[in-house]
Amino acid sequence: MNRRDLIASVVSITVMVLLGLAPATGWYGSFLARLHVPSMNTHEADAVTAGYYEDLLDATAVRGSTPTGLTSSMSASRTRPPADWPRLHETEGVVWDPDSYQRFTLRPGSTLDYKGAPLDVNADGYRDRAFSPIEEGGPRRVAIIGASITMGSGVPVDSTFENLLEDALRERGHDIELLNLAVAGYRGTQLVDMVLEATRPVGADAILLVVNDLTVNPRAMLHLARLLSEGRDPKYPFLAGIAERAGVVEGMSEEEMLDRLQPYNDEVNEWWLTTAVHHAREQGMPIALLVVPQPGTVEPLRKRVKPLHALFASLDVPVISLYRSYDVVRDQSTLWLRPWDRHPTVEGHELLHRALLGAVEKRADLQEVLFGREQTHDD
Amino acid sequence: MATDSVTVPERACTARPLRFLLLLAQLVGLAFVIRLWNIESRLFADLVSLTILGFAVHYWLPLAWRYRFFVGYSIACAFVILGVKASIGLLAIGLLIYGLVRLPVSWWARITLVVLLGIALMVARTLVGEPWVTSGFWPLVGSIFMFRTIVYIYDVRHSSRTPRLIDFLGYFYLLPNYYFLLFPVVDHQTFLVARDRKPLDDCAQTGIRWIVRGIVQLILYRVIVLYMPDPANMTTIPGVAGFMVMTYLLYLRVSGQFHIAIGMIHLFGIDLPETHRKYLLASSIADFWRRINIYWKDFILKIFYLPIFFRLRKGGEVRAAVIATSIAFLATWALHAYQTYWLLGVPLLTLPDTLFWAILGFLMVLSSVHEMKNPAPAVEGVTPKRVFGVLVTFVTITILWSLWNAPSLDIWFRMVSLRGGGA
Repeated sequence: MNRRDLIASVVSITVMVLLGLAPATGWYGSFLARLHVPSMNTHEADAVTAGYYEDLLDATAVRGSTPTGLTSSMSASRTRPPADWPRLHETEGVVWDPDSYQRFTLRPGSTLDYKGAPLDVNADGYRDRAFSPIEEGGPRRVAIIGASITMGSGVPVDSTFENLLEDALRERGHDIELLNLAVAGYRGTQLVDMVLEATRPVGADAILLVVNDLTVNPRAMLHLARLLSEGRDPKYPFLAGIAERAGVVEGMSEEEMLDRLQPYNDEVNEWWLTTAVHHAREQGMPIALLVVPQPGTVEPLRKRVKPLHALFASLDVPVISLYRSYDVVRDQSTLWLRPWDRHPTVEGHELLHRALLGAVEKRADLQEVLFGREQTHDD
Repeated sequence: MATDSVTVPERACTARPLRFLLLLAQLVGLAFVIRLWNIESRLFADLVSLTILGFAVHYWLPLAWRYRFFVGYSIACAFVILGVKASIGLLAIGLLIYGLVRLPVSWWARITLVVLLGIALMVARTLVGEPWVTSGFWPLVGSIFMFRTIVYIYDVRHSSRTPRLIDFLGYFYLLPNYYFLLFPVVDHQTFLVARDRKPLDDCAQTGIRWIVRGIVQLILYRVIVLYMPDPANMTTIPGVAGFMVMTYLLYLRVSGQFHIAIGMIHLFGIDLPETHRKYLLASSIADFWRRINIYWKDFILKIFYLPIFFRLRKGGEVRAAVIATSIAFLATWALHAYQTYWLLGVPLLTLPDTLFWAILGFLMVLSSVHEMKNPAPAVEGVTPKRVFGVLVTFVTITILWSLWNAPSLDIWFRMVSLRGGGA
């Protein structure tokens, strides 16, 4: 046995193990932690860095993250949710309305245990602390509209990144109230309706609109497909036009409708984002977009959001991407509620809050949305 | 030519348990490092576990059984990693190729049949998808057969021995290839002679060293990606230069994976040569070509360059070298597009890619002719001439590499003219 090879290998392995386990702090710890994350692009350099070999190797990487053969059944048993793992719309915490565009809303006053955390719906019908009464001279009211991560699936209400941010901003002397209007499972076509219909009744002065995986993944059109398959009115002429162009007709199954609607994802994304932003501006409500990823699935979201960058630029709104929020954690799967449920844990929400607070401290455009023009200042 | 009989004296048995434990401990440590650093993917971690298990059994087998175990184990692992359907499909294609090569008809008839089979598979790659085959099946077919079939046919043609099925199976169904779609073009002849020519302890230790080297390169790749700047913001010379260098260094991912793949094969006593040798320190274009993806260089040399060179040599060696080199790079360009077709479903036919191979081929011709006319012993070590050569070569390759990886000529020109290279 070659002694030099043996020594070199043993030393190298030992160094890599020590570096991987050592609790480093500060910038060095952050640097080491980021190295543990397999896919990182700090900037949108895909167009040029994805060269000949990168494209071929990414094909391997995609296949490698999708187990096949015996390993597929082994991994599936690790990640399949148990039969009693809840989905919000299957609980008593929602109200189904046969005529409603949204199909279901949260049941005001309901209390349930949802994914291991209490889920209390306030009197206004949202999963948040009680909203203060709307009054002249009251706190600035900022509505945050999104889906399950923003709603805080599986974490106590005071631990959501939205409420952590509210508490932090109040501690810094800002008279602000964040109104969490998020509902788990809502997609882009539902979020725009929330902007148009739900922000005025709660007295919102500004809006944070969340873009996440549900709004841009290949099943983003599921809400529209369900509306149509249930014979409901798509409400918006644009969506009715999309359905017609897609050739969706009565009698088709939901999946068949989804297949036909899927090619129109990009067009519908452009519509709901543009509609939401224009409506907010018409109502005098500053609006910003938040891109919020799930732990461990940051890169797929980044790739899906990338085609929207040109739209973001044309809308001229602040866009805050929270892709780097989880980077300090070596294994982002530890931030999942469960191996089969990738919603962030309390720790994950804390990381999102810190990233968002950092953005608030650095970005004047976001401060203008949150605090209004007169109150913009550096912390 | 190696056979299954003993070709290397067995080491004294008294030291073997300790050596085995040393090797196994290193492999377990590597498996831990791979999981700790999230190297590659879950499937790769499973491959590593299977490789270690196979090594642990293979090590204690009598020499005469080892190669057979390697073949059988590799094929069995295909069913574990790839699934029954894909494995049967791969085996069927392989056995069909082998059967065609063994047909009792003229050699040209056999080649024609294999070529027709290849064309049929290429057409099927486009036309046949779910639910008949998964999306990952065709890239696997390409990865295993697209180049090695060419080498195999060439070797069988030039060999007086009857090709054995067990040699065929061992050559094509290499365990690491089930994960690494971009795979070194292992030479068939080299594979046959590499078996058991070195004591297993030494061979395995070399393999472990290369796996370590590969993992270090994959971690370094992550550092590159972490600090990769946004090309859209490249408007200064240092910025563009830095971006170009980092684009070139992304190749660490390829060399890292290749080291790991061949290192894994070493664990089973197959002493294949290394795939890359300090390519960042190449002192000329010709030296670069000899150091980067050595297996590819040997493949092109064997199938294209040498046959053409020897055929034309009578008309002058320099002329023969120029023509042979030009054809070799034309073949490299075409085969890279062919590889992209198999692995991604579309051939790569872009202007940056074509220009890259054309320019590199031209520089290679110049470099080769220079070496032929000014033969000098290879100089390793730090001399002013060598340092200058390394710097010039590095800069040249870096610039060419950035061209190769640019999505379009327009974007590349925008970047080099400091107007920002974003899409």
